[in-house]
Amino acid sequence: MLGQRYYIYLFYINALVSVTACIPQLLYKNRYNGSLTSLALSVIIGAIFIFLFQSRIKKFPRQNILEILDRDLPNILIKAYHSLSFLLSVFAGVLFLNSIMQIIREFAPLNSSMIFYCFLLLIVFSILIETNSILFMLEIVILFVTPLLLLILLRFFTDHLVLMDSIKESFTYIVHFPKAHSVVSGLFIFTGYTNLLVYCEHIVSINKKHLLIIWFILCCVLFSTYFIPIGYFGLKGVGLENYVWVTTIDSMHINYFFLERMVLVFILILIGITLMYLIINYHSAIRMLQMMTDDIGGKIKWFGIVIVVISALVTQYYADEINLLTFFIYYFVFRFILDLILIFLLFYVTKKAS
Amino acid sequence: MRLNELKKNDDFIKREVKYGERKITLYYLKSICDEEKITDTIISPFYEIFKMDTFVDYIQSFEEWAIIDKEKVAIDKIFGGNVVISLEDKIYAVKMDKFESRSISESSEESVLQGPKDSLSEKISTSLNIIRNRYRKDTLIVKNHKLGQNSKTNLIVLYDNTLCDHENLLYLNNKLKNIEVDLLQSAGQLQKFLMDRKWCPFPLFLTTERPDRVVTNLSQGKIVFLIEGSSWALIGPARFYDFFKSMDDPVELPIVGKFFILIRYIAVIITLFFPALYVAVISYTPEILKIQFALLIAGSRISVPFPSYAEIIFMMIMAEFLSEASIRLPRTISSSATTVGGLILGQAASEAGLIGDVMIVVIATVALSIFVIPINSMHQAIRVLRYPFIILGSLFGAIGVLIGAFALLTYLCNLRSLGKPYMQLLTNKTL
Amino acid sequence: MDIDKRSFVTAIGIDESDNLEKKYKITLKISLSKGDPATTGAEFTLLSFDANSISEALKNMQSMTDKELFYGHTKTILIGENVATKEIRPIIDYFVRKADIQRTAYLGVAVPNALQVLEFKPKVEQVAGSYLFSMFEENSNESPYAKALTLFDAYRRETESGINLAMPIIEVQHKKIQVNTIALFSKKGLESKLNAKESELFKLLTVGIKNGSTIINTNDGTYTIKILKGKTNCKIINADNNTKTAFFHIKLQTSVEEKVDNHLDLTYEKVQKIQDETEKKIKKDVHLLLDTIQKSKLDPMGLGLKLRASSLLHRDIPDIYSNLNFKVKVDCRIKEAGIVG
Repeated sequence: MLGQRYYIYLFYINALVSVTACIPQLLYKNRYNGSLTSLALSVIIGAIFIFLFQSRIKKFPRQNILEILDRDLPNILIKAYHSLSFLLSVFAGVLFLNSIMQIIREFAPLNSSMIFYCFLLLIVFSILIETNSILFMLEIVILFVTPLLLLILLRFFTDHLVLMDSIKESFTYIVHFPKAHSVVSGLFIFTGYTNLLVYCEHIVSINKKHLLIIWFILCCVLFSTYFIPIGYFGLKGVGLENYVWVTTIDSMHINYFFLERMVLVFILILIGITLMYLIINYHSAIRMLQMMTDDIGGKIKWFGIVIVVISALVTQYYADEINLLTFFIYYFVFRFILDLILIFLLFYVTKKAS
Repeated sequence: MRLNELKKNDDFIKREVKYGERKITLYYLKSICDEEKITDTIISPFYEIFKMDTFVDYIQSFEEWAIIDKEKVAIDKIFGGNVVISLEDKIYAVKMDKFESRSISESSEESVLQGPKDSLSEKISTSLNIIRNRYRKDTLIVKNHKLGQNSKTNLIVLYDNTLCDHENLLYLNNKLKNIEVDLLQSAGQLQKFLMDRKWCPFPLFLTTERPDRVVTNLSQGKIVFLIEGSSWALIGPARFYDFFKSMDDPVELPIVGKFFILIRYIAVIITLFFPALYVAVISYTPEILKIQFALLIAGSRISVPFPSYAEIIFMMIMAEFLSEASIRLPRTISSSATTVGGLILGQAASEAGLIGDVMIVVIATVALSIFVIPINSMHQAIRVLRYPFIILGSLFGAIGVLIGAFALLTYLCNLRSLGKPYMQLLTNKTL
Repeated sequence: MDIDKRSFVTAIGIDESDNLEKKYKITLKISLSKGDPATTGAEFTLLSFDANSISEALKNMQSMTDKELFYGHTKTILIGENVATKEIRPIIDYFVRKADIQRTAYLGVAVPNALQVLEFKPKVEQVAGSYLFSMFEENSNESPYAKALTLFDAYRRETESGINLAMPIIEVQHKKIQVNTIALFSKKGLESKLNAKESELFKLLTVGIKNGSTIINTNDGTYTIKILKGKTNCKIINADNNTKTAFFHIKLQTSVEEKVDNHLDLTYEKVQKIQDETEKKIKKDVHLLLDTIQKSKLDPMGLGLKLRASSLLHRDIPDIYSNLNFKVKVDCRIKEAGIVG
């Protein structure tokens, strides 16, 4: 059984990956009419979701989602839920892969197709390992990544070229109603737990204090991913940037040791975070598939891997025609719906159980 | 009698001792038996004890004795350092072995500054003596095993009964029973049989010749193997971090000790990634370097006729040659070999324009930092793993190195040493 | 592509072409690296090409060298005065879009033109072109005049409303390079230049200064005051009705350096007097500067943006800005009166 800190890591990586998920860009679309209130709303809804989830899941310690649901619910419903979440995970994986490949093509354009195949190979290699091992890996990745992210945060606070007025200006557009799209995309940061379902059987159940820490970290990540680029590009300028965080780092004057252009280091960090998230995501997809078919050790995982690989290859082929932002919105909406369903199911199950 | 076949051996002794009516015959190998002890404890009493029955009782008072009914057993016993005594009707075997070994010497492979300096001995009882004297707890259990078709090596499994994982113990016992090997001579060899993965480059067991490390690990609930004839102990389950602990760390003050542990990890990261990242950066993304530095490297490479990855692999292999040569060669020659190789080759290569000056600094850094790892087997694993990284770095740049690092991390995290995770931070607490 | 197969472009200059049919004359300063580390790369060559667009020129210059032109280390982009007065937006746009150029590259207006500035060869230079950017870099040069402008900052000032470009001017004079004045831009191009004195004040109002100086006349003599550290806080105060006031609170740490034509004999009263005079003088100068900038309808300090940030109603900025009142408060503290009392 692993400690509660692994919950923090899972939520944390889910929040960090929001940069690859274009969440800042999606939020900036409504920066003049309601993205701030959307942010606030998603923080509140996110908190409610997380706490509701905790109150349900703690009743079933050391059980996976199949065992939790497989009490009173009709079999077909559970199957449907699992297949939906499998499909959604594969869809998410494809989106993230494409998103990171776009960044690589733009900023490190050297045999990117070979890099893509290497990514796929790595992912296939990694998702087959034990669930525990993935959590250990996650911890080490986060250990390496966090100091560098803190360094970036520190640089932001000491940089006099940041236009605080622009950040203040963004607050003046607060009197607008929240927009559904923005709320849903902000919520993605808090809904990391749908990925945890596969992992939570290996982790001791979480208490309220840790949940509060998680919520605080998530808010920090959400707000800094939203506000820091505004400080560098101005409220109008952030909307013009396609890779807003990469160019933000490029605008920071970071000049340490013998390194000069930290943006490349940042891209490496971003790739690292995204790869880690992809591994978590695909692993949970494969596990969902295995649970759905009750075929834990058998051949079904290879079927899952074939789907993962083919979906990635096909979308990579049409990469230029994919409008990532709209697809990400679709993903967030579906994810939100699925989370609602899950919460509902959990409530139903706990009621029955008691 | 097949015993007679042993006569072909010149060290085989058949001694007949007579006293009046009474007669015994002794069979033994004089090379592995203590002849003085035989004279003192068997032959002299034979002349002093007048009744045969009393003499049989006397023989049965020895620490290790057996009645032998089969000839094959007799031969085994003789090769196990026993004296076979044939009385009138019965045959007894009495342990009279002699095991020549060095006296306790200073640990040469894992030297420390302030910690204890003695090392384990080739003689298993001496090693056990050292360990028992450092760990005076009634829960320390010693179990004997024998391994090897031909060598019949004595093997001792040591563990603290209250601390160690009994599942592991069962697993190990099964594993030991199933090992089929002709000769077992060293701890490293045993490790190969105990590991489930055949192609794993990382040592899953700790090998050490330091008794203090053995005792520290015993107190952490680990299982220790001592092998007759090898001054190295095998310790498992091991974790990745165990290979970076020096026995100086507990001696040093906390901040100092922690600092040196940190230094070792930095050294590992440098050796693994630095050459690969160097190639990646200078062939794909030089903008990451400060301009002065970039121009310096570009300038130093002007005369170099081949690409940077060829340059670095060439030099790395040279450095490997050097360190291999200095291990194999006798002490007196090895120092001159390193001088010739390191100084003259490095200097000459850069002056001839074959190697950039900066490259020599890189190689020296890498070659130096590898030696910081305290445990030899880990050091070798890391040494091998640098080359895949260089290839990835030269093919895909820094992203390639990142992919490699991820693959390595996945592999390491999925490794289990005796069922315990090999690479997990902070294992004992549930935070 | 190994590092030795690249030529490092350390600076780019953009001038108006002499050829009437072509729009730009682009000059690249390429640092040459040598095998000997003792004399690393102070040598450089210049490449020039006349073309109608920057990308066309860069493409053509690529075919003029055997190595690949590498823009990852381009630290300075110089815009000739003639080009700057015409149209600045497309140039900034181009460089922002070019991913291999760092967003922290410095921009400057070159007088009389970029080519002459690039041709300048300083006596000691670490790397060709490093002289230029280290003049901008804050930590290596604490000149009170130069206010560095980075590429992303320039782009932001072009796109945002309520803030304008202000770019340092690099001037070649008597075989020396000087950066002590600032050019003010409208969204379209260069409008006016501040002189050295105004530039210093401008810098005091924006990022603050170190090691500035000013001359103060009191009734018992003329003193040179050294400004050790100067910082300005700017706030928008909503007065009643529609009038708004920009309140500048300037804090100075100064010391008296010398008395012109006489020896220093400071007493407490004299110091007080000098302090009052300094405050008065700075206040007057700042008011003058702010009024001239306001009259030219330029907003290099981002006061318009500050206005936008200060109220929830987003009205037409130019209107409010031209009706903005200024209030300046100067706090001067004379820190020490030299080693000898």
